[in-house]
Amino acid sequence: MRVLRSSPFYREGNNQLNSLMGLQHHLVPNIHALFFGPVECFRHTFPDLLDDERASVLIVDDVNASLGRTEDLILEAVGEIRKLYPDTEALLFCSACQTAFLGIDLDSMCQSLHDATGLYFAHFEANRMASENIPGKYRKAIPGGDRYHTRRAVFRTFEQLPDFDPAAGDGVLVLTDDKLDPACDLHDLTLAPGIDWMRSVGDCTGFEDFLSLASARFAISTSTPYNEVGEYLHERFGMPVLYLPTSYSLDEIGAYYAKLDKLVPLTSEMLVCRAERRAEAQTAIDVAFAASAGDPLDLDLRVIWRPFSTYEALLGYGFNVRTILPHKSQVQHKETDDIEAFERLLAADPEGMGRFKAMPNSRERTGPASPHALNRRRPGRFVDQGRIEYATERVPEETAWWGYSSISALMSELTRDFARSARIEQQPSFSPTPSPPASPAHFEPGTKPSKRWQL
Amino acid sequence: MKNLWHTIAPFATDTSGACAVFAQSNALVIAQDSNGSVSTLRRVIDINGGAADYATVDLPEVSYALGREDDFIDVMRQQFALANEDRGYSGQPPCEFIVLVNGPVSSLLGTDLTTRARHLQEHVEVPMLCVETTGNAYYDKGIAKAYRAIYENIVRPDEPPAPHEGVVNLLGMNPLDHPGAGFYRQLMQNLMLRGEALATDFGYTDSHDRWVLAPLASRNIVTSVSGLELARQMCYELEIPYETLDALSWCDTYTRGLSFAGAPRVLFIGEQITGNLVRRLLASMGATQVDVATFFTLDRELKAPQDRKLKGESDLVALVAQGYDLVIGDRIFERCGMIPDGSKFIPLMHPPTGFGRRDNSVLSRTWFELIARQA
Repeated sequence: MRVLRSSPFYREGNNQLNSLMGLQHHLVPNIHALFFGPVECFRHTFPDLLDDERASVLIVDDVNASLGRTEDLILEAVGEIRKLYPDTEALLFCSACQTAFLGIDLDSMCQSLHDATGLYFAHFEANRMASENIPGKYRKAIPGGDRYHTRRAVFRTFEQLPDFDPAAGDGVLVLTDDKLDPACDLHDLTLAPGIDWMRSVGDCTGFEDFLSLASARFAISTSTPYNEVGEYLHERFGMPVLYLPTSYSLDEIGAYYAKLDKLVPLTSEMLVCRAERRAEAQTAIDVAFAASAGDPLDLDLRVIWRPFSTYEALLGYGFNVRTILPHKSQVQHKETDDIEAFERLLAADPEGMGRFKAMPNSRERTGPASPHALNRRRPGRFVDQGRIEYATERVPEETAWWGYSSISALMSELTRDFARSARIEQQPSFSPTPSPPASPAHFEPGTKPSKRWQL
Repeated sequence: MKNLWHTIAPFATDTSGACAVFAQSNALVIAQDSNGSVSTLRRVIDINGGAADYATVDLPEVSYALGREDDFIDVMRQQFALANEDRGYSGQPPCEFIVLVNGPVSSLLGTDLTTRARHLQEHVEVPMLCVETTGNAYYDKGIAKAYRAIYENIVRPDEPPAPHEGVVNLLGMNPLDHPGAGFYRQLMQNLMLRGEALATDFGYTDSHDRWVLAPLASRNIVTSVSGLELARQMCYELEIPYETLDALSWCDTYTRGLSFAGAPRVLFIGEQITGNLVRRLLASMGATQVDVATFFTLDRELKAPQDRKLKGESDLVALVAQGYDLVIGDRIFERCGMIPDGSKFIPLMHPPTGFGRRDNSVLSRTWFELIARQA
């Protein structure tokens, strides 16, 4: 079983393997995240932030919450954080479900703190009880969730900027967590007149750098979790936003450029660059296909936001894709930018694709005998045998592509993989820790007392 | 600031503790809260290869705010049916009982678990237990509450029976304070050597069919502070005496023949009874001062004058700065850079503190040999 490390974008969008709080890596330097709420909410979240000096937890227990002391505790915590980390430029308050029931006016608190300290403040509620976060019948059709809201929360600090006028912008804001590779297509935008810079959120080196993104003329969301940010920037500030999520399809990228051309004046130099990039991408596809020699390909797409579009594109290029492992959240959140590809694949292969229709643990899943059975008792969820080599840690230097360059990068990885003929070691299948053996030291009375279940 | 944590992650909550007691039962544990609580349940049950299932009610805010009990009952009925279906797929027996635990929101709203359980029981044909956790207390409180629920609903006899000589109960034995099977196995071997038999270990390996045997014991052994409350209650009501783990002499084999080169000052950070045991054993090796500090319950009757209850990170920082030669605790303290350079750190795994990232540092002869070499 040949497996592709879901590269080069294994952190494309958000690493689903980590906390859903979305702050397992900091979006912007010098923002300090202050989580507040009961212990239970942060017990499972904070492990991902242990190495993060820019995150703190304020435990607000039920007594303090009931007595209305939450705001006072937060103010005290802000003071202490400023003393411990004097270079903090902004704070992001992150609350949990319990806070939602307390009705605290966090907007006012953020504005008051900004007026008093000059720092920037934002907040978001990681409210598992909001309908959009609940699996099943209560989930809205509109995608939602913390990974969207945290990003939007950070951008709400723009509201505290004194002057903010996108009409006077001179750059392009790319909405993605990743640093953009120097080979990324989007750098060509600076060849257009009136566009002096192009930066992503991931490119920011500090909070002041992040605030300077407000001088963008328009924004491009290349990462699905940022779509909500795009909507917010457009509704609140009137900034034009294009939604052009990462694609590996030549045709789709061509359609993206058609949209971009409506916002960015096209020059001959840009046209030449574009044509060259497309040619490079096509060559890379041909080389990778030749290297594959028809070998079957099993793809781990768990950290790729549009797994079905990716799958469809690779099938279109002729690769012998045998299995794909998309992340379950794609089905849960019903990401609209991947639904069309999924529907096409489903129509072409109802049986093979049908197992991705249902949510995990539903009755429509395949039975336990299937290698792809979704069972939370099995480690790795989709992994049935062998070991899939995939990267779980974010490599800070890793960069992202967009456009034709993303195809070239992906094909380069595939070509290397085929050439290496990686072997996957078989590992014994998981078995739970056996219970301690029954000991002869166990007391067995002649007559057992009868149980009395009394509620 | 007491409640502000920068470095160490928050510790396991009472919900985790309650789960630990039922982890080996064919039970369904349902947290009356959102799916954010699932991780805490999963860490206890799945990591320890438990037989229990777990679920959360996953209802929107309006159901909580408006007190829509029918929503909760419907969801829990579905959870129960789904759990049994999953068990059928994997060849496990169906759930024998259901345990309801609270989460932070349900606790804040004053949820009446008992009434809800009675309501649910009308629809499912299995017994129910309720453990009034809050999601705000630590794991040891949850274990104690789980024991209380078991005792009051299942174990307490109408008339105290005659005790059976040589029969003991283990109270406070749980995978959070005693990870791994080694310590338990040695404890059981010791019981056998003494000609004693175990009635129940209250969930460490057994379930309700053995819990009912608890009143027949002639002695309770308390292996962690979470079992103290039940031990005292059984002593008062059933006249079953108890002794704590550190008073047992069988552990002396761990340090027989070992000694320190000098007379180190030692700080133990963890659960109190384990700390008392380590203190006694290290004293036998020549340690002049062994202080026990804990973020969890510090029982007044069992504490030494120099023992400390830690309230937050700043307390810990101030304490370790006193210049101990050896500091013993979960590896997370070292990982988070809380141990000063002048002190040698000896890891001792404590999952409620450090997420159970297994490093196999458990109480054993080998572990004490390591300490002797390090000092």
